[in-house]
Amino acid sequence: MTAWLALLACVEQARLDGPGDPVAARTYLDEDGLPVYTCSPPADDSYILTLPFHQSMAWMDSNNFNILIDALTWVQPLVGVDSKMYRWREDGTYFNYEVNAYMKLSAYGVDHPVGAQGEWAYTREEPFGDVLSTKLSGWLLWDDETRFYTWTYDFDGLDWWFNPSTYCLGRIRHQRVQGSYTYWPDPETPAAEYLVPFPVTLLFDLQATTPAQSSTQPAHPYVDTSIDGFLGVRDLGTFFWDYSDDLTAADLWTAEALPEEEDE
Amino acid sequence: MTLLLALCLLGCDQFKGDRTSPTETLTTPTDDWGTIPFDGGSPDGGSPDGGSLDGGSTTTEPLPDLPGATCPPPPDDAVVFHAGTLVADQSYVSWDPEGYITEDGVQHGWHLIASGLSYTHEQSCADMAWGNRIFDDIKAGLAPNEFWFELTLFIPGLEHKGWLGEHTLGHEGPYLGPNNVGHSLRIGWRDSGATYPSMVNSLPNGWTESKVCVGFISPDYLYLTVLWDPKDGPYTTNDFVRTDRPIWFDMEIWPTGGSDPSDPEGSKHRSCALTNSAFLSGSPYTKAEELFEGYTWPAKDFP
Repeated sequence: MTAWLALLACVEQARLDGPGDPVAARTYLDEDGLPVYTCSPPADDSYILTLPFHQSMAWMDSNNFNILIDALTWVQPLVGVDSKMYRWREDGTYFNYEVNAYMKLSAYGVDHPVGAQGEWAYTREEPFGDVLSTKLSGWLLWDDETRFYTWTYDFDGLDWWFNPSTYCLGRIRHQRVQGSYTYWPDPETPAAEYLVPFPVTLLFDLQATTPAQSSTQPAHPYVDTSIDGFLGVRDLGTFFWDYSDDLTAADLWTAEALPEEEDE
Repeated sequence: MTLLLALCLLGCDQFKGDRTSPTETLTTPTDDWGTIPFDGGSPDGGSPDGGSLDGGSTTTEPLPDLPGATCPPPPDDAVVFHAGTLVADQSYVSWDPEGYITEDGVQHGWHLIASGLSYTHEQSCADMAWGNRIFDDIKAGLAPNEFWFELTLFIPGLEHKGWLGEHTLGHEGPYLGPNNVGHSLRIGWRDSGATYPSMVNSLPNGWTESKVCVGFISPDYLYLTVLWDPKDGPYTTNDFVRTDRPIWFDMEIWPTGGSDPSDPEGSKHRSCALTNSAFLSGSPYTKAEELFEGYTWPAKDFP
């Protein structure tokens, strides 16, 4: 296993080492025998937000790890009521000072999902992640008058919306992905007027939580349960891992499932 | 009665004077533990800010005959408040070993989502549930020196006795999986003159510390205390929210509908709480009531 940790320390150049802090030194083995990477803490000038609600889907595609994330910095007020309109209320107003983020992360050339763990920086000079390609769009709903739209778009450093950012994936497991994203506004980008003038850090721990599913109506409902689509109970979203036919969760999430060469 | 005496020591109005912003300088703590008598519930519906432990009761039902837990008091330097208006969803659930709820659910737990305020809003909790309007006034700067909070909590286990007591957020973060106690927490406020609201969250990697204590749990009444501590993590140096002070609050949760909905100030209307059962085949239970056999809860006949 030591060799595995050493390999993690040698991953692609785009991976960001913390200040004086090599990847291996920030990686430890969890109780399940799989490595965990400790992400950098938010910078002092970052506006810190967490993502308690999400709908995510992850899968392995050949030697690539992929995840689609649709996440909120708030807990859904009511589940099942027009859930596609996360950030709008029925009267057209918004949830202010909140973020609705959409992310697609793809880590290429990894034989196991935990191979995507680490931290990467994306700059105009080096906009392309060697391992992790990213795409994030989202809304930062700052106040009643101001909306901030897409922040970091694709991995094209020349893109109108491109802004420097870091991604960290600290713990990837069955139905769980923990990490962070920080965006630094680029005052030179043509889209600067649409962006908040300070960095924003999103800390996420995406998990499977589906207590809203129930075969019975809840007791003591506080809103009208006759509304079409109303499920009655708030939850924290869903996480769907799509495994191939010949791979089960039990097979994948063990130390023995790590690539053979890492044990050499 | 012993239980509620203990709970009262944690829940009476003695903290009202320390509702400063966490970023303001701490003055002399005024808390005086263990000296507040408990009268067993006031018939007038409790205090407007939700600070009384009788839950704003307008009835004289017997006290709940269930075990409870004594929760720790707030630290001396903590910012302290009581939850007022709140919306809560509690679920008794079963999971399968893979983490999905399926027909083969064999693992069990208790899940809570609670959103609330440090004061009782003039509007009812039911009216503000739609669209999370409950937070609007504080975010807009219309309620300085008040707080909003969002708490999610998951505790595995089949017996409610096992859900009682203090639960610390582990180093790894708010993992809410079928085998782990976990929670996530946000507390927000907006200081007078501030250009935007401040908020703190429970963070992973030991960057903050938070504890949730379950003092009482039933299908129709909950009592919890929550402690958030910045430790020496990012919030002690962050440019937007810089604080060295912990924040402590407690909350009483009960279903709405117990009295006049047009009078949220003096009724159970300040608390909206539904109870969900998601027990599937493979579970010994089919509904929440079976977890609390023998407990006749006052609100069981509410709509």
